[in-house]
Amino acid sequence: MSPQVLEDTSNLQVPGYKLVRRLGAGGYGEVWLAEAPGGLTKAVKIVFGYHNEKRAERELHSLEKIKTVRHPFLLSLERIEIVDNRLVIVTELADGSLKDRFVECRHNGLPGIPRDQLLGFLSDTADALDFLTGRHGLQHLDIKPENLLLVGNHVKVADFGLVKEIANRDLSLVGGLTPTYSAPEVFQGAPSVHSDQYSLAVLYQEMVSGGLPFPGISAAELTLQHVHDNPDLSSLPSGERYVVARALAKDPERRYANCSAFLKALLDVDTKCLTPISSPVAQTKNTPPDERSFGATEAAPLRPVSPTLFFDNDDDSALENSSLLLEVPVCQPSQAPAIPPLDLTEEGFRPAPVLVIGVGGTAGVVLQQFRSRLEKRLGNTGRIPGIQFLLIDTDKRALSKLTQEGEIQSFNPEETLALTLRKPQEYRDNSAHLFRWLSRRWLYNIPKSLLTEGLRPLGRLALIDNSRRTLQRIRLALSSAIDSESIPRTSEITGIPFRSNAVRVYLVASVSGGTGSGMSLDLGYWVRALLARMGVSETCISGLFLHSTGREQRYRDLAKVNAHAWLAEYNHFLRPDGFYPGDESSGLPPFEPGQMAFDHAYFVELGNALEESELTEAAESVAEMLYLETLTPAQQFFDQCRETTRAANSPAASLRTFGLHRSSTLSKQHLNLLADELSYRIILSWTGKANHVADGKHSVPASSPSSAANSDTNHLICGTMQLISQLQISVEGLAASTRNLVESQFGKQAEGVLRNLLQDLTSTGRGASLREVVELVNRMFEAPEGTPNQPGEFVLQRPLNSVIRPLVMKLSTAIEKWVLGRLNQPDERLEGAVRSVDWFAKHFERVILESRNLQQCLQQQLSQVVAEILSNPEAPTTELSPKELFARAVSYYRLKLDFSALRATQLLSDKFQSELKGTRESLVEFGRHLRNLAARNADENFSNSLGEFATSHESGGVARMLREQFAELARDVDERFQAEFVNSRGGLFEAMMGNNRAINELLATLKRLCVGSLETQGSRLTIRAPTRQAQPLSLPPRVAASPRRHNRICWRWEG
Amino acid sequence: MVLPAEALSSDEVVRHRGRLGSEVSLLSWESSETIACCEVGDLPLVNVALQVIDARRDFQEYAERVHTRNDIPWQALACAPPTVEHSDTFTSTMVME
Repeated sequence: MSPQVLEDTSNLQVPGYKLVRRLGAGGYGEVWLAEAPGGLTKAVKIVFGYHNEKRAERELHSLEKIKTVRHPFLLSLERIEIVDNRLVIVTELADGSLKDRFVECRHNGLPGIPRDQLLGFLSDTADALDFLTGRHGLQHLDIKPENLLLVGNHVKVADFGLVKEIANRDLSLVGGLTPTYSAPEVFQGAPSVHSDQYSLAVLYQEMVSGGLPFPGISAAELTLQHVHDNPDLSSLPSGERYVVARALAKDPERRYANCSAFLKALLDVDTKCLTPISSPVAQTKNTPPDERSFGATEAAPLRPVSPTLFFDNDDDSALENSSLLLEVPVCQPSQAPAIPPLDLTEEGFRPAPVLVIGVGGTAGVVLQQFRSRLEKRLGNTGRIPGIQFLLIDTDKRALSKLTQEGEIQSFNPEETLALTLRKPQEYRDNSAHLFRWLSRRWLYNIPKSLLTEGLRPLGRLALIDNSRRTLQRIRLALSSAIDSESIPRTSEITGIPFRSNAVRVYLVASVSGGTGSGMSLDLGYWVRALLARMGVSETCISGLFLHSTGREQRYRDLAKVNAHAWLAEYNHFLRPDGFYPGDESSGLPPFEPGQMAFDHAYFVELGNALEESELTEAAESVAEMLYLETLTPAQQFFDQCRETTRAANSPAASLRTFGLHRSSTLSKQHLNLLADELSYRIILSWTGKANHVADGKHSVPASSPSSAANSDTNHLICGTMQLISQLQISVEGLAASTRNLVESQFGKQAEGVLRNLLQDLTSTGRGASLREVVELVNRMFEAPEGTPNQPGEFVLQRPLNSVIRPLVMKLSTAIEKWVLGRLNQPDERLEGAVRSVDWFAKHFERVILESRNLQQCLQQQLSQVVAEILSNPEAPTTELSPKELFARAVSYYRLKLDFSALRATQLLSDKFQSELKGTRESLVEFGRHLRNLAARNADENFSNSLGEFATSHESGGVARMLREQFAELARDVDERFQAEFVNSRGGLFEAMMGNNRAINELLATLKRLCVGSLETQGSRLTIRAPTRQAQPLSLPPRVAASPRRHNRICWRWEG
Repeated sequence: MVLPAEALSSDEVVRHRGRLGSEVSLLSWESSETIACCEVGDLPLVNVALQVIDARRDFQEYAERVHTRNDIPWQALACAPPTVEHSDTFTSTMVME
């Protein structure tokens, strides 16, 4: 029987119950209001089909599982019976369903059930569902508004027809699903413990907003959407989207731990974030983030065994859903002025002694670089007492590597401090103290490596556990720095007068890892406390907090999270009500609100997804800043910047940053080398073969990429076509010109000439025959006596060649001028000239062919005329009137004239072709000359020098950048060379074909222009200024456009 | 801006100032490199913090679970008002060679 056909159940007798009225019906069966014994009202569900049919059998099977389950929010089952072979279920009677309530709200003009009320209902539901799952391993699998019944102010979950034991994978679910609400894994026949949560999320969205996450209508559509598509959460307020998206994750494991956790997350959504978003949200691949380690609620225990467990999701596609993203506050552009320009001189510069504390591995790299700079500046002076180092790390091995002899810029053991973690059991004696601030889960999950592995609380644990030792070492380093004997000694070594009773402490730490991020803030307060105890009158504590991420995704994400957590903690201490509570184990008392550890804090993003070498490169910028700040008059600049901020009443120790752009300055030697290379390249480019620098090692992109070459070719063809039109050197144009020349040989117009000839012929008084007329005209175009008769080669016994000579001269000159003119176009030069020669050659080849064809046609016509006349040789002329005779003569004459003109065109074209061949040979020779000249500019060490130069540390950066711009620079220089040198010498060809002196002059001019251009561009590369628009930054500076090239600049200057 | 001492002629100073604007501070120093340094004060901390995590809500949730100590009532940054007035961000430039 089809489930769509209602059965007649009105006559069904359920013993002990009186069916009063039908409450509802569907594909499953009917529900009746029934009177039970004692006047009670109950609901009676009659399942369609006979009890042994599939549907009823399935429901019965489900009921077997549920009948023993008791929960206040599960609809209680009173009886389960087979009546007339039909399954009958008696339950308590509800007031209505959630669906009824929803319809009622919609009728009242609401989008759905008011949120608070709905969350109350769904909390009951979640409670019941979690009970089913947690206690009985069951999933309801048919959660929908109709099955959530309202009883009083509570919901009771009803209809257990699909209830399934998750452990039992044999039972098919096909046929009983409600596609609108079913989880994707249910469609695939593999429900999970999180399947009901999914349905609950769909239901929540619908009931609160009226919208569904999947718009499908048919079961097939909905199935596909649930399994593959991203939910449309646009009907929800932005604050809720993330929560619902997570509950709707395709992967059940990515959902909340249970339904209650989902509800709690909904309840936790900040009500300020519940402003409905009217604009639709883009459909997205919605995969909520991995939560396997971070449980959604406190009920779901954390498992921070290893950082790899935190982030094992490489899929960022979920981020396409804006509901997963936080809104970033918009910052208004600043109107605050920058500091006025300072005259930074050594005069009066008296730095304070310095203690540089590095925390963690990245800081170690910075400190190494800093020490390297010191040694470069001061030479190998040994330790400088007024500049103290203390490198702290939880990684003992990394530290010992830095102290190994032979290591460049190694540290003394007394300059390092290893704060190692211990095994969990070793903290047992002190656990009571530790657990006052440390969650016990961290202690129990100390990695076997005894390294923090990126876990911040473990970084702090290492510090607190070694607090006494740490304080001693810092105190010792500070004392050494400000010792009365160390100041003069430091001044003597450095040549800089240091001042006494003052100290500057710089704490460098990466806030992306466990060590630096975990202990840097405490260390700051400890240093502050120590300085206060030591009674140093002038102190300044600066923090250089670095953020970078590595290659591996899971550590990359952890690094971001760590940096964010660090910033949140730093922000806490900035708040008026936030204060450092002290530390019992180190004996440090609390600080008053407003007392900050750091006078200045710099937050520097080194880059993302950095390789180790890239991190080292980026760390160099920080070391450079540290060096400038501590030991050069640039300190005044930084002081002034900070003072300006302070004067503007900004909160103390607000976050700062800096950008550093380092470039080597080109030495004369390097500049000359580059100029030679550029000259070489330019000269070679004139030949059209400068696609790569000849050494083969340092490929430089061609100056004319194919698209540009095509563009040049088009330009060339257009110019050539224009010239052809202008000179009229098409077949028609040339034939017309030569026709005029031939006709001019007769001195008059053809008609006049012929009239005279005919008069002569008929002067004897007899009439002339046509034959005589033909012979008369033929004589005009005949060769002299004894000359082989070439038809059309002669006019009035004069060779056609000599007749057309003036025209040949005129046109040849014009064509040659055009061709050589290409040499003077920087974007064409030799290549353009040769191309135009070839183009003209082809053109004249076509002209020759066409003129030959036309000659053949005319020859045929002439032959026909002659044949006609000869067939009637005796026909008297008198038969023709003089007018008719004249017309015949003119017609024949014109044919002969045209034939002669075409013959002349062919001769002329032959001549041009020959001349073009000569021009081409000259150009080839010219090219050879150019290559020789280029070679003169590049001696045999040229390539090697360039290679060494380009890779050298000192100047490699600028050189590399300049060489990357060679194509552009070459074009610029070439244009200026044309204007300044070539034009004044009548053209490149003429200039190049001069004597040695002229050639040397050419080379010198080119080199001078190259040097000038390189100097200018080199200077631009060296000093790349922030644009005006970049000041101030409307948002915190982000990583530069090329995020992994931070040797040049750490932060992006917008614009 | 730090300029190499040998390279700092008056012409170059004029050139650099011309290019970078009159607000730049110049320092002549023993250096083989030219260094341009831009110093920015009063960064909007909340923005920085959110950009660090690409404004990902899940990362913020994670961050709340990796605080160094649990005896301090840390506050999530997204919900907290910014502690620094964004409109007061300062930028200064120094060039050194």
